[in-house]
Amino acid sequence: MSDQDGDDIGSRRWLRWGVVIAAALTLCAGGVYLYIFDPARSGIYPLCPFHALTGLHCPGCGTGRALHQLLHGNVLAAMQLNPLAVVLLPPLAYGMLSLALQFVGLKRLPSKFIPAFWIWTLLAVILLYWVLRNIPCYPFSLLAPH
Amino acid sequence: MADPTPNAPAYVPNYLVQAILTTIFCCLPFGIVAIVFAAQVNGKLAAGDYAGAVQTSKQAKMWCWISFGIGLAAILAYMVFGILFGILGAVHNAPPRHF
Repeated sequence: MSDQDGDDIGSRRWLRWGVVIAAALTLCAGGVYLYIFDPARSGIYPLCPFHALTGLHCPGCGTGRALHQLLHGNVLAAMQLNPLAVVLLPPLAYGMLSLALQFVGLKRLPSKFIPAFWIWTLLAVILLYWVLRNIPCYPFSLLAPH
Repeated sequence: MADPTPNAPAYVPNYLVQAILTTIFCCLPFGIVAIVFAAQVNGKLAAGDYAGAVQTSKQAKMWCWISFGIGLAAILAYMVFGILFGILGAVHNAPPRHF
């Protein structure tokens, strides 16, 4: 069950460790930057191209600001910026860790097979979220960054 | 939490994690396409269509990379334009001209 990617011989394996360590360091640097600079008021951040072009919110809009709040322990404030991203973050982090372990030739973290139905559901939720958070009245405006 | 369930005869990566990441952090339409392929991979696996799942898995991987690449390109383009317009702004900030 430890599905090695086949060809992790010596140097290649070290290269893969290097990639993972570089990625982890980049993530940490990004985390420190996000902790210090609130995207809502400071720092230099790339804008969402979709929002820049249309003025509408995409499913990812508010993620940067939400991560800043999360790093400061303000879960509620983060939920007000991008609830979907906050909810998806723990499983995504788990999945990324698992992928990284697999990439360097270690065993993946335990995971269950996700029936296709649930992936289609997730897709529907993301698309619905995209539409709903752009409706500018009360219950839906909770989904928009604020 | 054993790895292979009766529904999953073999492990075929569906790149769902990458697909969601690129959907939220990069360029949307292509991340959505990748999620569609991810769902199809697991659907085919559950139906016992291993070859089909492997084929679809490659598509999912490709769209994740396309999504990631375009997202990265957009961010880089934004930075280049930002610097360019910053310089232009600084140069032009002198007296207003009408043309």
